[in-house]
This record gives sequence, structure tokens and C-alpha cells, in this order.
Amino acid sequence: MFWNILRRDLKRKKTMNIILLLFIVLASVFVASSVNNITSVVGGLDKYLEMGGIGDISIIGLGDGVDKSIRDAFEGESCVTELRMDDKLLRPTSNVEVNGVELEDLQNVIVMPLSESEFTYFDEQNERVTDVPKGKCLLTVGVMDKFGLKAGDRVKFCFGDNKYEFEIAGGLKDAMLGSVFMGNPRFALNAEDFNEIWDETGDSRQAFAIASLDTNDTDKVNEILSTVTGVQVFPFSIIKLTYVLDMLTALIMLVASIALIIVSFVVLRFAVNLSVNEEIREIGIMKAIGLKDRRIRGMFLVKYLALSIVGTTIGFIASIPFSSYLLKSSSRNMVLTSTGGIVIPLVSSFVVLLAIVGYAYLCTRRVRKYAPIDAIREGQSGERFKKKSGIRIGKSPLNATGFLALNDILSSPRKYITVVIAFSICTTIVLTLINSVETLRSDNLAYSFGKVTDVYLTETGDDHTIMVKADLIDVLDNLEKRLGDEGLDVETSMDALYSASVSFNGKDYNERLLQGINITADEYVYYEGSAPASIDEIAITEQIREKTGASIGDYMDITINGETRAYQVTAYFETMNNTGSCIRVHEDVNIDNEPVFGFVGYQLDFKDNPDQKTIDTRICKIKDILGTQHVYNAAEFVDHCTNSSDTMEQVAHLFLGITLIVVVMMSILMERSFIADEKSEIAIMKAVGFKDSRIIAHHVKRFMMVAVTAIILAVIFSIPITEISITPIFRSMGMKNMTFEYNLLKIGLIYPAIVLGVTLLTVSLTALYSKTITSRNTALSE
Amino acid sequence: MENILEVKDLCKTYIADKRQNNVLRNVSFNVPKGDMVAIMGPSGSGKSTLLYSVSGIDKATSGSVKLAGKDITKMDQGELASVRLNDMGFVFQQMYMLRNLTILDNIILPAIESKKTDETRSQITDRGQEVMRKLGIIDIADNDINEVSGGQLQRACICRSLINNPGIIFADEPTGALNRSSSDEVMEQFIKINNEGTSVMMVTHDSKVAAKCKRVIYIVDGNIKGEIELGAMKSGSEIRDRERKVNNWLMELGW
Repeated sequence: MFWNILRRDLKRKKTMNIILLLFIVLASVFVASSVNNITSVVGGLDKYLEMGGIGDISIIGLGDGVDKSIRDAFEGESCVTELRMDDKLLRPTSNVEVNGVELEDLQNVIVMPLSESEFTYFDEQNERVTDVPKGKCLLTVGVMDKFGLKAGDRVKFCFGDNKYEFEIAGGLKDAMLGSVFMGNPRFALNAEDFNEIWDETGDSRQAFAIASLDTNDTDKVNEILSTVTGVQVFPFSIIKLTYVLDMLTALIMLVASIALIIVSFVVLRFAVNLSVNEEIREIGIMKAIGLKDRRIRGMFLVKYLALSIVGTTIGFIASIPFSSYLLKSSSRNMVLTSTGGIVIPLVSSFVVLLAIVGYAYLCTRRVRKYAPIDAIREGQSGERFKKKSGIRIGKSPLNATGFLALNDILSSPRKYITVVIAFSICTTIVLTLINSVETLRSDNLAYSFGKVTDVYLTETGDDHTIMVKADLIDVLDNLEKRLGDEGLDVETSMDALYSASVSFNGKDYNERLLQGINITADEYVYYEGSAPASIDEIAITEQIREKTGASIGDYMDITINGETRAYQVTAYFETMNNTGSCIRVHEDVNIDNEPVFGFVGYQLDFKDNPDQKTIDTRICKIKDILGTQHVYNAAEFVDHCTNSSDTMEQVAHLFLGITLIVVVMMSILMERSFIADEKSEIAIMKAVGFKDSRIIAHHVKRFMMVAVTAIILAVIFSIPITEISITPIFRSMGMKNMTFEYNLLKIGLIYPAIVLGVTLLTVSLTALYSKTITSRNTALSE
Repeated sequence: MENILEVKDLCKTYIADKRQNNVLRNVSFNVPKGDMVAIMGPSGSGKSTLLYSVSGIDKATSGSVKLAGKDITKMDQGELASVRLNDMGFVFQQMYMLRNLTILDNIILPAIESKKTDETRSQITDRGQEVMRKLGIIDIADNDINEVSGGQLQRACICRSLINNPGIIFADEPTGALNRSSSDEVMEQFIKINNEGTSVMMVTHDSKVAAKCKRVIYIVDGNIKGEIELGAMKSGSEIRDRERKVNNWLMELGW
């Protein structure tokens, strides 16, 4: 008999049952794909780096014989268990051309023979690649994306006077240099092609090597490396940190997944509740004819079990492509693969099934409360009926539909809290991402790259032969002169980066030193202590402090120009150079003969202190004078250096898309269930003379009030959530004290308007269904 | 006398399982202004369908229905909604009201929705209270709909139907769900409303209710089989005679 009742119930309450089924499918898809995503992201990066051959310590060496120096240094040392090294690498001598167009922004290119590499690489499909056909090359995936390159494009390099052309065969996932922060695009060639170039370049090529080693004694390795000149040392954690942006994307997807799980369960709770409420009359009648509570609950549970089995099965199947899409969108530069196969989605779907049945079981506890009288009064017997909202239409300034909308929400707030929670969570994440993008595009972070100046350049046109400090000074002097000749009086300056051996408390480290050229140490920002005032004083970052244990007042031994002396720490500062691991030395420290390891950019200050508009106009002029596009104001320079706002914006838009999908689905399903639930009310409103358009207005206004509430909460919450969630990421990149940028137009108007607009459009279209209910339905329901 | 309602050759046909069911067959009658008509007939005779068709709640298959001179069979849904809002009132057997509103708010809602007058909210509220006072339910104005008796709720429904001063009130078995005393109270209100000039057309099974009306129409199988003119009831003592008269007439028609 129960099966007959169930069959008839599924048929008779088709609309409500379909809505419930859709909610179950939705929850199942989100939960299964999200859990799968979470398990793949957590631990996924470590696994990828290990697969790529990244050991405990990685080394990039510059200069003649650097590969030999590294090998010799570890010769016979038992602390190194395995050493992998690529010493056959080339750097083109001019900009790379793609399809005949020179790509100025594609700098620091490395060319290598793929089959001879001791590291492991993957293609865009996450398959291992060991070779590339002759005449073709593979290019780092991130670079392909950044420049919009695709398989089939033709790329041209110059080595001296010789030009070589290859066809791009596809993308390459390179664990060592593939992250956005490493900034060294790799072209992997066929070994035969490469060796031809290698032979032709002869002695003119710039020598360098990339190595990675596994060790059982990190301190010993650091000590050995501190004696090798021309090497940059990267512990595994730093290589991992360079993927912070990729991980950020993955982590955002992870947060989004958690949000979707919460949304799913909140929505499910609503759907089951609504469905059980629909049954009150039946429960009363069944009780009236003598059925026991246990039997009645059992019958409902059979129904929910049947719906859950169908819904979670569909959800499980749909979650597989959805999960793969989520994962793919968060791992362009990495190999993140689903770790659990179909087991995780299967288990997740089963958990959703249990949750629904469990929740339905809890909901049906109310069966015990219902008496036969509820069948007559439809659960609204005066004894238990709660007082409605306190507002009165006679005193309200709202029109009839506006009042009804507000009154409905205030009368049954729990019913609408579901929408508020779901919309708020999704919108908060979108706004948090937008806040992050705005911060990265502001000049708030400019001080983390040195002294804040009017203009920054990463290229002047004559900076190809920089070896030591004097070369940089020449470039700056030339720059000042060239611009002065064109009527632009500027003061030039820059921060140069050097490598040095540092000792503290008996331990040796290979660290980066920062020294200002044409800038004094007291012109930089320090968050504690006082600027180095003499050549014996230094400032250190939080990272150095944590790594070495040194603090203000301590003395650190630093070897510069072969001379080791003690320097006293006088201040702490923050920088995003070298992911925050730097020591600032006084401008008078003689570092002149040390090779310059790197620099962030050339900096210009106009002597006449112009306003920002004039600066931007002059930037255009400087671009023309120098013939380069690499000229930025402070905000643009931060964006250029962090190189992450575009990625972050893409993620924000991706999540906005997911949010809008959630909003559309929830709006359709909830509005449809409201219409089903309020059929008799709609009919009575029509019977007393409300037009269809007014009924639709009532429903749309109700959602508008709820969505506006959700959006206001999201805007408010997005500010602390941005600070809580983004600060640790920037802290890991070297920034201790972040100042966030909030674009009120975007977070207060544009994005909320998109979410609200989509909500209202969806509800308006869904509410058209109320036109199928006529005043005659009042009579029919009698 | 001028007619508030003119029904001519009204047909209503339902098609169920490919079978045609002619519920109303060329029904014609008029309701003069100020009249109070009861529609009676056995179950399934088409009396409720007639009421819904002439009030525009349901669409007629053919024929014409002129309400205050306007043919409502030619109106679209928007125009019909305006007619329901401004020109007529409807009282159902079940006391349907919006769950989330108080009794008074339910009553004045159509007045607020209507653009018929330029009244302020407080004037509308005062008018709503005045109507409630007239029908003796002012003390339940701020109650929720589940806190009052069926008779009070039905009177509240009558108040709602009156709020926009309609020319006619349609009522579908307005006393069907009420006990005898509540039923008498409700009928008293209808008579009062009718005496003030509002026409009333109601469907009823109850000959005692019908006896309080000025005219009774008897309908069988979708056709008007007869009608009886009772005239206005002048005092309560007339009711027994009127009821007997109606019962005898109904027996003659095969009730």
C-alpha cells in the first residue's frame, strides 16, 4: 500500500517533487565536485613539484663555469643524495618574435633541449613529455596564456646574428620555472635543433645552470653553497611560494567549493522543510484514520529516500565533468589531478543522500506534533500559530505589493534566511576577490618594491650588459641625460639586488642584499627600529628574522667583496623582492665589485613635483623617447611586478559566473516553490482584483528585498574577510602590513548590481508562471 | 429598472477526457440594480459555474455578460482584474484571506491597490474600520486570520468585498461553512448591504438563506428551470412564510 501511496504522491505533487529533486541534484553536484576539488588541491602542489624533480634545494647559477663550481662543491659530500642539473641552456640575445611580431614583454627567455633535461615536464593535458618533434617547440603554459599564443604559431629567436624559427607545438608545465613569479619562460626544443644552435653560438653564449638537489642535511648544503659565487639558492618552500598565485586560484576554488557545500545544505534544508510542510494535511488525515507516527514517518522517509537516490545518482554523474572543470580552471600552470578517481564523488554523493534522509527524518519529527485538527486547519491552529509581523499596511509608505513583499519576509524570516545566506556567501567571495584585485592594482604596495617614485622603468634600451653597480649607475646617468635633453628634469634611482654569504649564530646562509643607488637608506619605510645610519648597520625582513633568528641589536656576519664583517641589525622592513627574504645595507657599503643579481626597475622622480595627471602624460612621452612600453606609474608598476591582478580578476569573474549560476538556479527553484506553496494566495489576490503584473511585482519585490539584504551583508563582510583571507598570502610573499584598496563603485554598485540584476531578471521570468494560476483556482481549491 | 448584470445565451463547456460537458446551456437572465438574487439547484447543476462565469472569475465559452453595461466576456485578463477590483466584490464559501496579514489589512488591501479614489492610507484605514464596525467585527481588526471564528472571518470577507464600494457582490455559498447563528449573522449583513443599494447575487443550497433574498433562480443541468419573485423582506417575522413559499416552489420544480 505504501508503494501505491508513494507512487501517487510522486505523480500528484509533481511540481514540488521535481523542485526537491532538482535541489538534491544541485547539492549533490556541488558537494561531490567540491570535495573532489579540495582533496586534489590539498597536497597537490607538493606532489607536482616532486614529480617535476624539484628537490629540497634548487639553484640557479650565472657565469662561466658555474655548473662546474656547483658540481665541484658537492663532490664527495654525503649530504647530497641526488643532484639534477641542466647546464645546457641558452638565452636568446634579442626579443622573441611570434608570427612576425616582436614580444617586448617576453623577457628572460630560456631555450633548452627537452630530451636532455634531467627534470620532468608535462603537457597541457598533464601527460609527461620527454621530447618534441624537430622544427617544433613547447612553451611554458603561463606564457602561452599571457600572450595569447597557441599551437601552430611561429616563434623566432636570435642568437647573435643567427635567427632560428620554430612552430609552437603546445604548452609545457615546468615545475621549476613555470610559475608566474619565476618569470623565465622556457622554450623546449628537439635536442638535435638545440645542439645545432649550441654549436653555432660557441663562446658567445651566456653560461648558466639550473640545478636541484635532495639532501639529508640542509644546513650543510647551505654552508657549501654560501662559498659558491654566482648562485641563487631556493629552498623547496620558496619554489612552492612562487606558485602562491596558482595556489591562490586553487585555494579560492577551494573556498568557493566550501561555500557551495554550505549553500547546498542550506538550500536542501529549505527544500525538505517546504516539502514536509506541504504534507501537513496528509499527516493529519493519516493520523485521523489511526496510522501510527512511526508508520507515517516511514512513508515520508521512503519518499525522500527514493528522491535522494535518483537525485544523488544524477548529481554524481554530473559532478565528474563539473569537478574536472573546476580543477582545470585552477591549475593552468600546475599538474593537479583528481586524486580519488570516482570514489570521492561517489562517497560525497552518498553523504548527500544520507544527509537528506537524515534531515528528512529530523523534519518528520514534527509528525508527532500534528493532530487530526491540523488536517482541517492546515497546521495553522491558533494555539501554535505565531504572531505575524508588526507592520500595518495602513501606516506603511509602501504600495500594496511592496508592503506585501516586506510583510511576507518579516512574517516568515526563516523561510528567506536561506536565500540571504546563500547569496551573501557567494557575493562575499566575489567582492573579496575584487578587493584583492583593486589592492594589487593600487599604489598601496609600491613601497614594498623600494622608495615610492613618480615613474618606474623595467627597460631603458641600453641595459643588456649590466654586471656590476657601475653599469647600473651608467644606465641611470644616461637615462637622466636623455630625458633632460628632451626637457624632462628627473632624478634617477634604483634598488639593486646582490647575493652574499651571511652567518648568524654559527649558521651560514646565502641571502640577497638590497642597496639603493642614488637613494639613502633612510628614504625607505621601516616598520620597526631606525634606518641603517652607517655602513655597519643593516635592516632585515620578517623572513630573514624568522629564518636566522636575528633581531634588532644582533650582529650578523656578511661577506662582501671577499671581506667578512659584522653588521648590526637596526630595523625591520618589508619587501616583495625575493619573496620577502632580503637584507638592506647602507648606501655607502662598498659592494661595487659584486655582480648585480637583479634589480626591480629604474625609478624616476620629476624635480617639479607634478600631479598624477601630468605624470601619466609624461610617461607617454618617456615611452616615445626611449622607444619602450615598459614605463609605469606606481600603481601600474605594482601590478607589473606582482603580475597577479589579471589572474585574480579572471578568478573573480569565474566565481562571479559560478555565483550567478547559483543565484539563477536558487532563484528559479525557490520562486517556483514559493508559487507552488502560495497557489491559493495568488488565486485569492487575483480574485480580489490584483493584475498578473502586480502579482509578479509582489514576488520580484520580495526577492529584491532579500537579495539587497544579502548584498549589503556581503559588502560589509567582504572588507574584513578580504583582510583576513588575503593578508596571510601577502605575508608569505613578504608583506607584513597591508593597506587594502576598496573600490566603492565596484563593490558597492557594479558587482552588486550584476548579482541583483540577474536575480531580479530570473525571478521576474520565473514569476511569469504565476500567470497560470487564475482567480478560478480559488474556487477549484474549495 | 436599470440592470447591473445582463446575461445572454451564456454557455460554458468543459472538455475532459475528450468528452464535452456542457455545464451551462444558453442561460439568460438579468439582475436589476439593487436586486438580491439567490441561485439554487442540485449538486452539479452548474450554479457555481454560472456565478464564476458571470463574475469574470471563469471565462464563458460563449454568450455575453454585461456588468454595469460593460461586456466582460470581451475583456482581457487585465481589464477583468480591474473590474474585480473596482466594480464588484466576491465572497467565497471558504474564508480565503492572506495568511500574513491582519484582518483589517486583508480588508483594506484592495482599496490600497485600487486607484478608484485619492484617499490617503489613513482615510482608507478609517473606511476599513468603519465597514468592520458596520458589520460588527471592529474588535478583531488587529487579529490574525486564525484567531477568529468562521462567522467573523466570513464577515471580514464581506467587508473586503465591500471596501471598494462595488455595484454588485457575488457570493458562493457564503454560509455553507458556517453554523446556523453565524449563517444568520452573515445573511443579516447581506440584507443590510443590499438595503443600502448594493446588488447581491449568491449561490446557496439553503432554502432559508434563499428565502431572505428578493428573487430565487432555480437551475438544473445548466438551464434555468424557473424563478420566483419574493420581494424585499420587511421584517424578521416574514422569514417562515418566505421559506415555506420557497420550499413549496422548489418541490414543484423537483428539488
